[in-house]
Amino acid sequence: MSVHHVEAVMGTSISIDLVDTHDRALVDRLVEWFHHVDEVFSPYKETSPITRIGRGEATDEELTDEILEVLERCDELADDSDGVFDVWNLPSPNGTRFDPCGYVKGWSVQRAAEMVAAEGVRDFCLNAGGDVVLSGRNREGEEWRVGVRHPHDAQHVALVLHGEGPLAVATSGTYERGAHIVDPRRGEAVTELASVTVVGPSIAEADAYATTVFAMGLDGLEWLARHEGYEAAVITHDMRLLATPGMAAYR
Amino acid sequence: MSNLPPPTPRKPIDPLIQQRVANLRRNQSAAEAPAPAARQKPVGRRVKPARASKVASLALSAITTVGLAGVFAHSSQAEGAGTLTLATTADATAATTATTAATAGDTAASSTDSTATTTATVDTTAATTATTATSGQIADGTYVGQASSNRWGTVQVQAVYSGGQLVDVQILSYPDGDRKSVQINQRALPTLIDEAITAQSADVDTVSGATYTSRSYTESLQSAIDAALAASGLA
Amino acid sequence: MRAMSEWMWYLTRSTGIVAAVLAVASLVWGFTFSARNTGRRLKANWWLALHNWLGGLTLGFTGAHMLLAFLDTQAGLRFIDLFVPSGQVGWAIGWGVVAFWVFAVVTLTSIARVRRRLPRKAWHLVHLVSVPAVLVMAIHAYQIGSDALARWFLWGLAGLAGLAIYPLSVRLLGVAASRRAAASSTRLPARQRAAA
Repeated sequence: MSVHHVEAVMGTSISIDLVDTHDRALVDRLVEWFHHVDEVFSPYKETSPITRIGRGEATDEELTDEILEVLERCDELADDSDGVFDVWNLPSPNGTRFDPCGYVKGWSVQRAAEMVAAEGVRDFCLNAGGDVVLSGRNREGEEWRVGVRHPHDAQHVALVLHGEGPLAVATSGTYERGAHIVDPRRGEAVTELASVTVVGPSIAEADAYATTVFAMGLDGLEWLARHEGYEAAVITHDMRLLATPGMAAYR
Repeated sequence: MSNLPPPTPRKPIDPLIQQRVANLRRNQSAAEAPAPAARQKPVGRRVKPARASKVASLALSAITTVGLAGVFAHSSQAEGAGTLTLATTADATAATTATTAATAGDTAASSTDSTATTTATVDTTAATTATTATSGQIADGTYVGQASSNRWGTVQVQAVYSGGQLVDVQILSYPDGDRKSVQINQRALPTLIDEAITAQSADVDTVSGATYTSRSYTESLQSAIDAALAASGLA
Repeated sequence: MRAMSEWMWYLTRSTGIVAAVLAVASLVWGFTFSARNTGRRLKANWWLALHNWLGGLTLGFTGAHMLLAFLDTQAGLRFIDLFVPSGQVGWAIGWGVVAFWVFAVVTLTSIARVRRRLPRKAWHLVHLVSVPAVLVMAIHAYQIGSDALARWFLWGLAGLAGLAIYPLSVRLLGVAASRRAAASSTRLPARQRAAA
């Protein structure tokens, strides 16, 4: 009574693990959804609406509801983070300064989780390149156990978080792709922290918050504490762990 | 020998030999200079022999270098959207492992213990009882992830499950087959401000931590977990 | 937006592979050229010129290969590692360094030979070391391991070995044949003398 599938899409690998269903058609719909998101939001694709928006070529018809939803949410996040999380001020692979990838990945996983839940599936786990959404319990009927990748070692975990879904876990780090998180205010790569993990109800927010805390550095922990329901754990370059107090509930 | 002057006055040359020599000369010059223009400048040819071949080999080498680099860049699919090529290979690997594991599962269900092989290099001892195999947990054994090449060789992640628990992660590296095994249960954790974190079981269902590229995914613990799930026939 | 070092790595691999093919080609051309002594009618000029050229290209691509490996910051090679084989960076790289030195010395001695500064025997001995050097180069390519599991790589390696072995055996058979011929031609007058 379970379905498991791995799909390489959106420049990463997405693991779909549905425990209390064997609905293959649902998996196909999720896969289709992620490919659709890739088509629309990829800044690597010359003809994607996102590339066209960045170049100022997009017409009003191209601004679909889902694009507008993402753009509005990105603006709110830019205000909230005092310009640290600003998708309009990032070097994009297509040569423009517009790259909403930092929000789109988490957002698309959140939407996928909603699609699964709408089908009445209670126990599942989605993992899109490290952005994790959990619901219910695992196959042993226990709380889900989420390992947080060790910053220096892809094969090992630095910490394990436990929790019953719905729960989202997102991690930002520099261990791959070099220093990919840029602080728009200073325009330089952030290196103070090795990785930031944010836990909370929505993966869309958790992912964006993890990116933001990473860009803010240690100050980001205080900023995150202002957000109801979200907790953060930070691993510094000298391999120390700092966490918001509520993180203890997941350990 | 033929360069030496003949010791005795020359005999008249046999017309047959004369004919043969003439034939050889004709063949030789035809092979040497197919273009009549080139035949007019034998001096230049002698100064720079094989000029065209030299240029051709240089050009071929340069083109091959660039082409190969392009192929490597393409096949490694480092990042960007649309990594569908890798998706198919990942699926294929998952499919083959799933088949092996399905047989393992069947045997495990029919008898109390069985032995299966996931890959040629690693033996999987699925010494599980029928109860554990049907309870929906990952069948005991060693699961090997997809191979991934990097500057230091080719590596594969291997996950060992026992009693449904992830007990060990090994990294197989090629070609020396050196196994850098780390018992994760005994793993020394980084120094932490928060004293509550101690050595703990790292048996996890999933891993958070940005795997941005499909290539780095194959090197990750998550890929080993996915391989184990697929191979356990739980999918 | 691939990192610069990634491209360095791809180019390091491709220049290495091209250098290997060139080395084998140079070997093949060398043996085919020298096989002319053993009964094969070939345009000596053309073969020799191309052999020299391919040898030079091999050295050039090997140099580029080393430079790129050095520039690839992720590979973590120090300048000294390019020229001194050591266990510190692993013997896989050490074998490559050994092959480079042999290619370099073979090329330099050939230039010296052309300028008549080296006796033929010494030059020839050094020149023959390039055969094991190509073998060492193959070990280097395999042990580095980036492509060691790839089927095309192993087939390629086998193909190159076959290419190298064919003219080598033609040459060795030729040497054996000419030795036999030489031996019989020196014996012949003796027998004639005996008969007389």
